[in-house]
Amino acid sequence: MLAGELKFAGDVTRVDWNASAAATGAGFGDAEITLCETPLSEVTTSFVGNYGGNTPALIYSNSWLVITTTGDQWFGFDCAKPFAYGGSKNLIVEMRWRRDNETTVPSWHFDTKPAFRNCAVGTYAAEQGKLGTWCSRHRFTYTAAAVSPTSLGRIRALFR
Amino acid sequence: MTARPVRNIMGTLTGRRYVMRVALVLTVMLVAVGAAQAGTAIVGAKESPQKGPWCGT
Repeated sequence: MLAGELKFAGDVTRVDWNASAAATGAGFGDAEITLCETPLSEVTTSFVGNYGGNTPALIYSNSWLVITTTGDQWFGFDCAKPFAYGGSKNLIVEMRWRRDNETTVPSWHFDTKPAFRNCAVGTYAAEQGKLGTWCSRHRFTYTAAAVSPTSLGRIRALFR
Repeated sequence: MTARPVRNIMGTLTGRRYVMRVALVLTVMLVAVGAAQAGTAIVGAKESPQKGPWCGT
């Protein structure tokens, strides 16, 4: 996600995808979702390289994640720990799993041609993926960033 | 027991400094309310329904 698309800064507390059709009991083993800020405006084939030197934060994990949707609806995950998004860099949403029950959750995407905004591969530990010119539709739930101590100090200084 | 001089207490709570302190407290309260606000951001349109990305193999 580009910073210009996100248009907020704050602590992300939940991330949702938008299902486009019904899915029943899609199972994913050892599922993990991470968020990572990046200076890159589009992805490369290197998963680690896409982080741009930043460290991804694990926001969700589940030994056996089951997703069921009834149609066009949001489905998502509460962050185990809020992710502090600064609002100026772009954001990578990454998920991976070790095994599944061969069931898919169809979801809404948007076209990003000619920019590569998706990188995926079918092997858990692979370092390289295949590029795509699309991006998942997302909803981020957040709380506004707290005022920094410096700003509070400036307010206090006004009353001395 | 020695009584605490009233002058010292009142001295900080009178006049201009008292008004300033009230203003400071109000400002901090407003900042606290603002920091607690939550929101949602939706990124991307419903352009194409596709398999995945939660795609079982």
